[in-house]
Amino acid sequence: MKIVNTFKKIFFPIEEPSHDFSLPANDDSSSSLETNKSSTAQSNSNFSNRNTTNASNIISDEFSDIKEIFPSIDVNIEYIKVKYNLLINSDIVLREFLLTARNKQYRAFLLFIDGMTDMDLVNNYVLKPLMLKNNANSFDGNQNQVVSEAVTNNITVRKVKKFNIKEYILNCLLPQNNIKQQKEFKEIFSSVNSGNCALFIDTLDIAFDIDVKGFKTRAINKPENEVVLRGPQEAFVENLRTNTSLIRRIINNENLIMENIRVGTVSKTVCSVCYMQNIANDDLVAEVKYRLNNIDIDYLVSSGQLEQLLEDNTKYSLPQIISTERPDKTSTYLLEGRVIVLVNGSPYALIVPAVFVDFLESSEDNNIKFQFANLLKIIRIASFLITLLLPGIYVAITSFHLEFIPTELLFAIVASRASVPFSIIFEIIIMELSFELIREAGLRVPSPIGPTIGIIGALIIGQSAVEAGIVSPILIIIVAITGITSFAIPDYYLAFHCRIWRFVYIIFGYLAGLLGIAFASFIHILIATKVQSFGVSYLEPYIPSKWHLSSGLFNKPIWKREKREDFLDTKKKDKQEHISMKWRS
Amino acid sequence: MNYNKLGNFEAICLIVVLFINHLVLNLPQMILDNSKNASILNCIYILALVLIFVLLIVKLLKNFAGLDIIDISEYLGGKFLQVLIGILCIIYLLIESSFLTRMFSKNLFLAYFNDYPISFIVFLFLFVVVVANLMGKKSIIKTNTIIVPIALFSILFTFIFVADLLRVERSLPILADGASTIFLTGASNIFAFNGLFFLFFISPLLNKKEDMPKIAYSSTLICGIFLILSIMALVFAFSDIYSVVRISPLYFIIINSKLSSFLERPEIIFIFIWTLSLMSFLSIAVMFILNIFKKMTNMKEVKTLSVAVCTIIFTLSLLIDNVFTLEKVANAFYKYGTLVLVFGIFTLVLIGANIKKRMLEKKQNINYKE
Repeated sequence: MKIVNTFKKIFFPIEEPSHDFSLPANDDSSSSLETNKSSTAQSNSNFSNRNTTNASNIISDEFSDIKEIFPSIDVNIEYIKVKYNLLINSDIVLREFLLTARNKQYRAFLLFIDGMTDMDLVNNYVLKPLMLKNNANSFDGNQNQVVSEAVTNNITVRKVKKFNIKEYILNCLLPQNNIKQQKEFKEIFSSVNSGNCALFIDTLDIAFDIDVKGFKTRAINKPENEVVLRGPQEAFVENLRTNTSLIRRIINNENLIMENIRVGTVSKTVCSVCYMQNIANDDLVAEVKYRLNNIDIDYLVSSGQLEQLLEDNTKYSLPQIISTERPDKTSTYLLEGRVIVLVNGSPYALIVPAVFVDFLESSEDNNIKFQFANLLKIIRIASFLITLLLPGIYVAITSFHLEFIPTELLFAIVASRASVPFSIIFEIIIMELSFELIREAGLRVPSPIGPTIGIIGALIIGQSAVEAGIVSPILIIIVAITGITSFAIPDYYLAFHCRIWRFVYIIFGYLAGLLGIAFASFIHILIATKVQSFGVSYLEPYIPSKWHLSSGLFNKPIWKREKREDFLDTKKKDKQEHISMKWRS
Repeated sequence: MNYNKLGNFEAICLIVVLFINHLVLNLPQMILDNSKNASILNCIYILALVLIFVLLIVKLLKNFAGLDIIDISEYLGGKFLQVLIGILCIIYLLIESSFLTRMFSKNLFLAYFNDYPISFIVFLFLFVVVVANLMGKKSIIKTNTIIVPIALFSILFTFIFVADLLRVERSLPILADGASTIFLTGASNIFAFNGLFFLFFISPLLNKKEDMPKIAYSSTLICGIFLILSIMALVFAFSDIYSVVRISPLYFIIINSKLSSFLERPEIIFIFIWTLSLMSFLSIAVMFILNIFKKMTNMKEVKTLSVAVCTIIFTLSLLIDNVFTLEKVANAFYKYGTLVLVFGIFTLVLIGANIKKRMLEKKQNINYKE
């Protein structure tokens, strides 16, 4: 190690950071303020702002070890003001008021975020019952406090229950269905950040966490990326609770568990781990929860990010987790015994574990007859192979194995390439890159002119390139077929993987013809065999060979799908009776 | 969900892969040279012999379930015998891999890559082998399980495509040079089943140790059936083929068949599959070399040594310049090396280890009685 360190010191000298926006340390804040003062004139314009931020940071640091709520309301207000930067934060509302309980008044305040809460709920069902005098809060209730009464020698002995304001507010004053008493600021802040409101009352060392969420969300729409003809037309949205309800509506079973885990130390994004308690393998569920609990990142904003953080092998581009926007597909996999992860703010569900054949499966397959589904699967396999190999094979054949092509076709190819001044590799890479460019540009352009880009790309550039003699017409056909077949792959990530590996095959094909394609294929197979998804071999059920235990790539008739996938090692192996169509017997 | 051990199908593929590579290269040619028209009968005869041999080996290995030949030789003769057998195995695999790579590359060079030096083709093969070994044992075995069935199907297809050329009369005279060629000198043709080499190594890798007999018989039968089929195809399809073919006989079959009207040279597809098969074998060979080396030296991490092993294979494969000399040496090594090591030394070690075990058990029984 010493040698390595010395080597690093010699060849990679550690440079001092040139930026000047680092925050001061706790103990020498004054000196750092001075440093800030002595900074350049350009940075002086931002000086006051930075000082304010630094100052609040210093105060935050002083408070950093505070966990529990104070009994004094003033201290709580002060603390929250600092924590939430109330002076500069415009959407944080801290509403102070006098709470009336059993004819007595207490100082109290509500903390919530404007825009995240339902104002009607806050006004009518939180503030109104607490502030306005009414039968509930004016009633002193002494009569009801008598627990037992005994009369001995004309002396009445009454056992009276001590008045508890916490219980009184909880049971009598707040007509809400979801209220929790929290002792720690951390819990309260987390709830407020997710749209709840917090009620603090003077002299109480707890706060009430009241569910008044009411932010605007997108309505449930049709799936945009996984369109089916015969199936439900609902897709997930960004709101986690809506998504869980979409699944619950399909699976009416109490064994469906949805556990929440927060990911991201700053964003604290809620992720929901869903599984069927009586079907899913416990080890698999534990593994998913373990991985989620051990992600140490600042923020998580999408399921795409989480997917990358959960994968077994991050080096390889093969997709290892299924991502879907369809609740019906998600529910099917749940009932199969897989585990689903939903991320708040993301309209996609992640399904684990996933094997290669899953990525060739479309949501449509379960809705149509097995013969149709299998035909479509054959087409998808062919598409997968064509999109991956066709350009590479074309390069290999035209560079090394011309004798492989029938003579007439060979003449046509040679004639079409006669006016092209570039080598085949240059020609095909140019065309493939152009195609990728059109595809990428098509995504970025505003939707009204999207089709125009396609027309310009496909017709004008293609036609002009051929007429100008830059590329041969046969190559345009090759690239077009490759492009069309890539869209037949149901999974976006798998199609992306093919896009990358296509270039690898082109290069190997150019280097050593079909021998090169064989080398690239071998390495590709090696990678596929190396990849695992939550401990499951990627090429299951074929490698290791267990095809007799699983359904595999092709669909069986629906009455014959008796077993769950063997690699899932589920608690319930059978998903239907040996004879499911009992009406026939 | 633990896949560290081999299933039966994976184990069978592991044994069959070496046989496939010889089958597509020089094995039918060697048998045809030895037995001529009597090759079909000879193959059936040697299959029967090998099945008896496998029966013996399975019985001998039964007492050492979970141990490979290296462990068994250590049990028999201590570290010295272990190292000796280990070195012999490494040499066998190194030379076998080198000759196979060179001969296959030579065929590729002659057929498609006249502009490239053979060393470049050999280098490409070994580059992939290094990558495979860096990926790990599991990947290599799983990849082999994908490639071997495809290779077997490709060979089966070659027989189907020459079906219209087959004439039984071409096999006459069926006894060729006489019964002695088939049953006495022809017995040495059991070298064809050199895939059994791996049978002595797979025991520790097996998921179910008790399935060893199943694996041994299945793999032997698969090899036997494919050998008989390929010899039948050659003998029935071409008269006097043993004096004509000097390149891979199966390749010769394909180029003489009318596969399709679209593809002018369909053999390239088969070459493609067989190339995968050779890469798979080479990866397995290097994997076993490293495994044996690890056992001999007690090294913890040997993956990176694959570069050194492949460099040796590269050097060995280019050692002999002359193609005819190479073919002669390779065939001789294939035949005698297999006979001496697999059917000779390994069997002797197993017999010796069984005798030692029985003697020790007897001794222990006497001690108990006393």
